[in-house]
Amino acid sequence: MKKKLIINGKNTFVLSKTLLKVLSEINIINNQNIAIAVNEEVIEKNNWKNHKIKSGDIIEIVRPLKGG
Amino acid sequence: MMDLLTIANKKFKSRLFMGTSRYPNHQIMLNSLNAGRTEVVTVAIRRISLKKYNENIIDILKKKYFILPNTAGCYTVKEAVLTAELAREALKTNFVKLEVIGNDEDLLPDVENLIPAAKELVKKKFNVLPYCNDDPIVCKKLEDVGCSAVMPLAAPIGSGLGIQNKYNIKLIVEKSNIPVIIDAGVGTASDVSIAMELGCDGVLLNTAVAEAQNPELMAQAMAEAIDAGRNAFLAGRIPKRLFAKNSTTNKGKIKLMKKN
Repeated sequence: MKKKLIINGKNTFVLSKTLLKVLSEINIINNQNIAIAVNEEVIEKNNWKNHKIKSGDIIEIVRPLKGG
Repeated sequence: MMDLLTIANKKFKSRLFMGTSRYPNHQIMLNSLNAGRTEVVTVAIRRISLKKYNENIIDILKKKYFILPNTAGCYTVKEAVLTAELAREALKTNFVKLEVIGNDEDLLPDVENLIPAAKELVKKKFNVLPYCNDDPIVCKKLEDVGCSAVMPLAAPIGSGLGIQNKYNIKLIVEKSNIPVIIDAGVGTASDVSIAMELGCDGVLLNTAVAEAQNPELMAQAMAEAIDAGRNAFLAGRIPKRLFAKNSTTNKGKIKLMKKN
C-alpha cells in the first residue's frame, strides 16, 4: 500500500520503505550536496538506507543555492 | 607579517566576504568573486525542486572558496536551527551565518529570537556568525553566548545606504573580543572603507556588487576599499580638529619691508 508523505510541502505517495528508496522512487539523483530532515530531524546521509519511512512523515529535502 | 583574520579556528587572508545571489549570470558571479579576491562566499539553503533540474553551482564554488551557509528567511529559533543543521549536513561545515529576521519588509534581525538561536547552535558545536543589529549590547550578548563573530548591519539588506550609525559600529568594535564583520547595507566602495577605518575586521556584501552596472569592476573596487580602509585603520589616523593647523611652518617666510 502506498504511504502518504509530505515532501517539500507537497503530498506525495510512495511504495518505498526506506528514505534512500523514496529518493529514487521520486527520481531524485543522489546528489552529494543535498540534506534531508524527516519530521524536523536531520537524517545523516549514511542513515538514509536504514531510515524507515512511515505514512504521515514530513520530509524536507534541501540543497545549497545562491544566497547572500 | 601577514594581517590575517581569524574566526574560530579558521584564518583568512581576505576580509571581504561575498554573497552569491542576484548576479546577471554565473560567469559574471564567478568573475566578480575573483575580482573581489574573496575567500568566503555565502549560500542559502532551500528546498530542491521535485520537478525540474536543480542547478549545481556549489561544486564549482567549493573548489575555490570557503562556503558559509546562511539561514536567510528564517523567522523562528526552530526554523533557523533546523536550517543550520541541514546546512551542516549538506556542506560538512560547522560555520553558519545566522539570520533570524522579524519580517520580510525591512529584513531586520529579530533579536528576541536571534540570541536563543545563537545559544542553541553554539551548544550544538556550530561556529555562529550572527547577522545582527548595530547595537553594542546585542553584540556583547551574542559574544557572551559563544558566537565566533558578530555581523552588525550597516543598513537594511540590499538598501545600499552605507553605515547609518558609525558611532554604534565604533562602540561595537571597541567592546568586542571577537571579529566584527559588517553585514548588509553597503552600497559602494567608500562604505567598505569607512567600515574598515572604524576598525571592523571585515565586510560581507552581495547586492552592491551583484547589481552594480559592472559587477566585476565594483568587486575590484570593494577589494581595494578593504585594503585602503584596513591600512588606514592600522596606520592610525590623526585626531579630528575643529580649527586648522598649518602643515608648512612660517619660519623663514619672507617679510615685506613696506606695507602699502
